[in-house]
Amino acid sequence: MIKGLWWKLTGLGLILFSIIAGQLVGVPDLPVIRETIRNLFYHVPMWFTMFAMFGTSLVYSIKYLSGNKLKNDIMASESVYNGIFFGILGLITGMVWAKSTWGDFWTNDPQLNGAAVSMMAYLAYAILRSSIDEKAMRARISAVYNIFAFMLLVIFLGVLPRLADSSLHPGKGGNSSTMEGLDLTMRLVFYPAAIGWIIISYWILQIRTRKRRLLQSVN
Amino acid sequence: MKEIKELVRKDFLLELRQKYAINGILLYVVSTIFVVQLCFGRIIDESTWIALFWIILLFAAFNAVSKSFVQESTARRLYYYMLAPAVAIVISKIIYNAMLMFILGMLSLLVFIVFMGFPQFNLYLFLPAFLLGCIGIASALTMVSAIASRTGNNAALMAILGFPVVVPLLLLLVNASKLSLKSGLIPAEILQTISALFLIDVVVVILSVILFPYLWRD
Amino acid sequence: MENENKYLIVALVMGIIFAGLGIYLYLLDRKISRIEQKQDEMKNANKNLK
Repeated sequence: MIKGLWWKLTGLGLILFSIIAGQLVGVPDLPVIRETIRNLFYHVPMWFTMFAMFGTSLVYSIKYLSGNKLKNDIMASESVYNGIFFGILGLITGMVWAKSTWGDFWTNDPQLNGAAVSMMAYLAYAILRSSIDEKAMRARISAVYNIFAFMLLVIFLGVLPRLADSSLHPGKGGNSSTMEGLDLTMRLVFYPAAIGWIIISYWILQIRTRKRRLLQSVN
Repeated sequence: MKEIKELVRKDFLLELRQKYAINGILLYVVSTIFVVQLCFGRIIDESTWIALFWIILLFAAFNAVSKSFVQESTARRLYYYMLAPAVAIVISKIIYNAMLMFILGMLSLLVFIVFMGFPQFNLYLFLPAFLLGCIGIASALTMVSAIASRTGNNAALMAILGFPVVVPLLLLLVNASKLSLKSGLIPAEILQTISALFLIDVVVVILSVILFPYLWRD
Repeated sequence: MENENKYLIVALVMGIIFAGLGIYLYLLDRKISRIEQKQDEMKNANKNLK
C-alpha cells in the first residue's frame, strides 16, 4: 500500500536500534563528559539531518531557478521547514548537554555561533516567503535568497572555527576530542543513528510535500 | 563596461542632488558617537571601542544601502531593463555602494578617533580588513536590498534578511580588529585573516552577479 | 545492577516514544496514499467521460 515501505522501515529500525543500543552499550570514560557522551548518538545526528535538509533545499532551489517548475519550489521550501525543525531539536539536545558539561545553556563557541546564524538565516527565509503573495515571484525570490544565504553560511562555518583559538567542540583547543576518540562500538551505534535520522527526515519531507500537492490540487 | 561607468555616475549624481540622504546618515553617525562619548567618556577599553565602532558602522550601512533599490520605481526599472544588462546594473550598484560605504566608514572612523581616541591597532592588519569589510558589507547588503525591494514591506525585511548575511562578516571583522591589537603579530596571521575576508568578498560578488538576473526580470 | 536497570528503563521509554512516532508517520503515509489513489481514480474517470 505504501510506496517505498522498505527504506522507511529500515530508517525506523536503524533509529530504534541506535536509541536502545545507545543507552546499553559500553562507552569510554572521558573526563568531564563521562556518561553524557551517550548524547552524541542523539545530538549530532540532528545537525547532520539539518544539513542534509538544507542541502536538499539548495539543490531544489537551483533546480527551480533553471526550470521554473513550482514542484521544485514546494520541495525547496518544505525541506527548509523540515531542516528548521531538526535544527531546533539539535539546539535543544545540545543545550541540555552543554548545561551538564560546561555549566551553561549557551556559550560563546564558534559552532554555536554558526548554528545560531544559520537558524536565523532560515527563519528569515520563512518570513521572506510569507511576505510575498504571488506564487512564481515568491518561488524565484526565495530561491535566490536560499542560495545566497547557504553559500555564505558554508564559507562562514568553514572559515570561522579555524580562526578561533579555542572551542569546546571536538578537534579544537585542549578538549578531550570525542570524534577522534570514537571507538568501534560507538561508531557502530553512531553511524546507524545518523543514517536512520536522515532517512526518516526524507520520509517526513515526502509526506509534507505530498500533502502540499494534494492541498494544491483541491484548491 | 561603459554602462557600468554611466550607472555609477548616475547614482553619484542622484546622491549629490538629494543631499538629505547622505547628510542624514552622517548626522546619525556623529550623534551616535557623541552619545557614546557621553556614556563612556573618552577612555574605554579596546574591545568596547571595536564593538561600538562596528555596530555604528553596521547600522549606517543598513541605512545607506537599503534605499539603493527601493528608490527605483517600477517604471524606472523597466527603463533600465531596456537600457542595460542586469549584470551591469548589479555591478554598478555594488561599486557605488562600496564606495559610499568606504567614504562613510572613513568619516565615522575619523569622528570616532576625534571623540574616542584610537587604540594601538596594527595598521597593516586593521586598514586592509576595514577596506575589505566595507566592500563585503556593501555588496552583501546590495543583494539583500535587491531581494527586499521585490517584497511588500521592505524596511522590515531588509533588517531580517540582512542580519544573518552580515553577521558572519561582522564576526570576522571583529576578530580581525581584536587580532590587530595584539603586539608582535606575524605576517602569516595577518595574511590568514585578510585572505578569509577577501574570500568572502569574492564569493559575495560572484553570487550577486550570478543570482541578480533572476531577481531583475519579471 | 540497579544502574544497569536505569539505563534499560530509559532506553525502553525512549524506544516506545519513538515507536509511537514511527506508527504515526506510517498511518499518515497510508492516509495520504489512499487520498492520492482516490484522486487518480477521479482523474481517470473524468478522462473517460470526455
